[in-house]
Amino acid sequence: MTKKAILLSLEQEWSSKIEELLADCEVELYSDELARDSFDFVFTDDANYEVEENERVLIISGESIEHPKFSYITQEVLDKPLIKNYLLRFIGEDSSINVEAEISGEARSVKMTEPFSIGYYLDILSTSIHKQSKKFESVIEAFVKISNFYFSNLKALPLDVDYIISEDYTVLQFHAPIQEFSEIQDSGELLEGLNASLIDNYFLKKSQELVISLVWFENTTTRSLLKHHLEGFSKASENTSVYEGFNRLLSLKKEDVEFNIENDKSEVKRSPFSTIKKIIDFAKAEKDKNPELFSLQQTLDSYPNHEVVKGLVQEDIDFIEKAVSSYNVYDTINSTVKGSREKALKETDIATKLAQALEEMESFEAVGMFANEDEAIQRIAGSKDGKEEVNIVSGHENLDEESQIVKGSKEDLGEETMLVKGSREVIDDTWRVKRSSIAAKVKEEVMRITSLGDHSEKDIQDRVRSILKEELGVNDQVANKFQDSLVDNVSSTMVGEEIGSSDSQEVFLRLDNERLRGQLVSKTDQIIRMKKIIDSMKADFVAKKQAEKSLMEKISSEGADSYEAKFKVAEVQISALLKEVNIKEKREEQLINSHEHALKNKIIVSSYLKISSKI
Amino acid sequence: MSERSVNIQELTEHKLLWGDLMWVKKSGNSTRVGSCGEFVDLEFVNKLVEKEATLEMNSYINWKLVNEQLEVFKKLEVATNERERVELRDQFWIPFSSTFLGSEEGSYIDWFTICYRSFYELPKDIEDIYYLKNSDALKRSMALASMTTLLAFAMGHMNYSFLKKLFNSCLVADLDFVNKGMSEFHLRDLEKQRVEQSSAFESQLLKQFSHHGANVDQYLDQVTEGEFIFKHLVKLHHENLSLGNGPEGLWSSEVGDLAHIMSFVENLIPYVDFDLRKGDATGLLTDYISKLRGFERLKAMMRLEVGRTA
Repeated sequence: MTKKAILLSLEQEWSSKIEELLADCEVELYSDELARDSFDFVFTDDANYEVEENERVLIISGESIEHPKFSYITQEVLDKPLIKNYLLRFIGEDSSINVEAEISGEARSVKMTEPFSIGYYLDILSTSIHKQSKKFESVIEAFVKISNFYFSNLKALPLDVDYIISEDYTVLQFHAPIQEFSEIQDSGELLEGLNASLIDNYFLKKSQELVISLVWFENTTTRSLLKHHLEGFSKASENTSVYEGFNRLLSLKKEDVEFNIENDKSEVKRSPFSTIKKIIDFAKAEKDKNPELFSLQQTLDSYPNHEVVKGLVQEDIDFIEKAVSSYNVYDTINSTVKGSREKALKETDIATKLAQALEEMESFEAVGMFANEDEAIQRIAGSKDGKEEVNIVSGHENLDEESQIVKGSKEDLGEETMLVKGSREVIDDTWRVKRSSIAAKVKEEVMRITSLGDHSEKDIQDRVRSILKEELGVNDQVANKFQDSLVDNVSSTMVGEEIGSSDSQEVFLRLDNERLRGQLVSKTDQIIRMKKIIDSMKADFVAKKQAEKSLMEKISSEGADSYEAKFKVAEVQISALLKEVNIKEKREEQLINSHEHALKNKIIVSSYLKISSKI
Repeated sequence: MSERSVNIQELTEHKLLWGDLMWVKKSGNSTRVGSCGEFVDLEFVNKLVEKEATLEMNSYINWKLVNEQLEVFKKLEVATNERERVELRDQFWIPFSSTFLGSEEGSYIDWFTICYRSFYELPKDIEDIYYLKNSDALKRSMALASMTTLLAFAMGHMNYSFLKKLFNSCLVADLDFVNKGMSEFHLRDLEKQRVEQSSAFESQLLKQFSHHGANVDQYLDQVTEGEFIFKHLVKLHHENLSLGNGPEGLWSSEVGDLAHIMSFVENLIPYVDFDLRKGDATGLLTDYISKLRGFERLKAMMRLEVGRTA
């Protein structure tokens, strides 16, 4: 997203104030008018500023200036605490039409669904304001005038009115969807007649909401006015927490589970998806070796990186268990990761990600790429017994003959800092050194390729493969395995980022959705063909019903004399027709059932997970 | 459950079945010819009645609650000032909240019957579209319209005429989809997307219908007086406001409470058949509804108004 360019043509004191207010925003502030041809916004103290095309001007002055075209804000108001919300909205930063989301204080809300209810709500508002605010008359006047403006001028019903009354300020906000964008123009006269410390009038194009928000600060005398149009709000800070758990609730039947809000695990820190994927692959391989004796707990205990296993929460373990025990789930995960490889290789920072994937590759994974452990030791450590080379990874000199301190500071390493001894440990450390040097080379080379611009994913893969061959002295087959594993890791990291910290069911459903999307395309033709058959049957059915109806009408129109005789004939005909319809209905049902069977794969795993989550 | 005979006039007047409709033959054998919550097929039932059989209704409804609330809405229809309406809403709010926000047993069919008998006014030509093309869609639309209207009333939209238009607008919200051939497969896809809360109308099958809410103006004109607000709300009824990936790409921060309620109820009501006898008063819906943005404001407002009228 391009940063908004804002020209601050103001005295230093007010420039500094604006800079302070906009400190957290993605904006570029300029003090030199000649720095660009035009700006998105101009904050100036010059009421006669000559506006360039598309520039939006905000005049900041000591007094209220009542400019016909420009928004204006007084220095007095600029010092007030709420001003930041309004100013950020003016420049298009994230906001909300719901006052309670924007402003602290107890918000009240009323809905007016007819003009005659103004009096009732005016009474309620008056009572509250009279007790707390000195601005009683202005607030009441604004309430009536603006309500009438929405009802009479805009024909906008119902009208939402929100208000917050506090010791320091009173906020009154109206909003309703309106049909015509140009209707905002009509509000000019209304706004001129309102007496508030700050009036913010904006139109949200996407939702067609016209909003008029007013603030009365205690102890202010000036009046400020913001008038602007917005496409929509930025979504950076959208709070979706209220919907967390909705999916879970909706996907479960009430007899399946009693929802307990305390069980919401949104606070639990999940392990990264890429880490979980590695454990799943490890466990799946173990299970395939001996399905009958497989135990997930034992497998987790035997997973070489104990720290990673320690970091798993129950949700992670549940997910691993589902993935290992169900081919469909495992297949979905793999398909999704494989399906994202191409996308992963197109990432702009693929060089860094590949290097990172290599840095995260554990020695047992690397060993697994080779035909046997001996070969792995030979290639990684340079000898079969792994004892010939003494490896100093980094940090201190060696402490004794077969001891090493793994690189990094104490704080950084924490759980990973370990004193290692023996051949397998030597492999671990040797691999750490080796992978770092290969990672650096991969990063450098891939960056070089990507910087050239004209490259394909194959170019990157070829180069990575050749580096692995050179550095590890392995053949094409092993180099391919290494390279596939790295790309898969980048891909699963990317998938994990897209999934976020969802629960296991959501994770699967999202993955499954990705997979099914592909399947669904091929199913569409089949469904359309099926639908044509069903539609023609329905049309047949309706036609026969109509024929039946008209026959009955005909009989009744021919009088009572012929009724009995003809009715019997008709009854026989109807009976025959109904039989035929029944047969066709059964055929239709059979077709639907057979299609249901075809679609069963789509839902079988979802159903499984619903049941599993109950457990 | 109670059983009683029903006649064709009663069914013609109230097409929404408030229990299971049984066809009792001379032999005493009975067959279910309509389920609770469905719209009765009058043509078919007429044919049965001609065969000298009788009709019985196995009703699951709480008539005491229904009759009390029908009275509330009758009074609302003739109420002339907001204070009266607020008092009527208080009378509605207590049983409504104990059904949907409490832990007492309750039933969808009670509240849908109340809405049907208080607000339903679908023109015959629109009814026929549903009957001929997809009567299941009408059952779901009834559920959607009822919950939307009841929540709107709870949230402070208290004008009877407005609520009635809102109810009937919701009934036609999916009519374009139905007209163009909404099938069982579409419904299943919609249900899958509803449960997953994935991007609305992602599948190839549904893509072509993603803007169906914007194509029902002619029907909305029939059930409202052409007011913009109903067209606007129906257009937004599939918005996924928490993710901003619905047909119009709107977020919750960009719309008012009514659009929020529409979207919320659209997510609440299943697309697959569900049992209206049971309702959802076991606490599941309680959590669901209490998370509706604006709910706390509603409670605050209720307190304010109760204090005012006391």
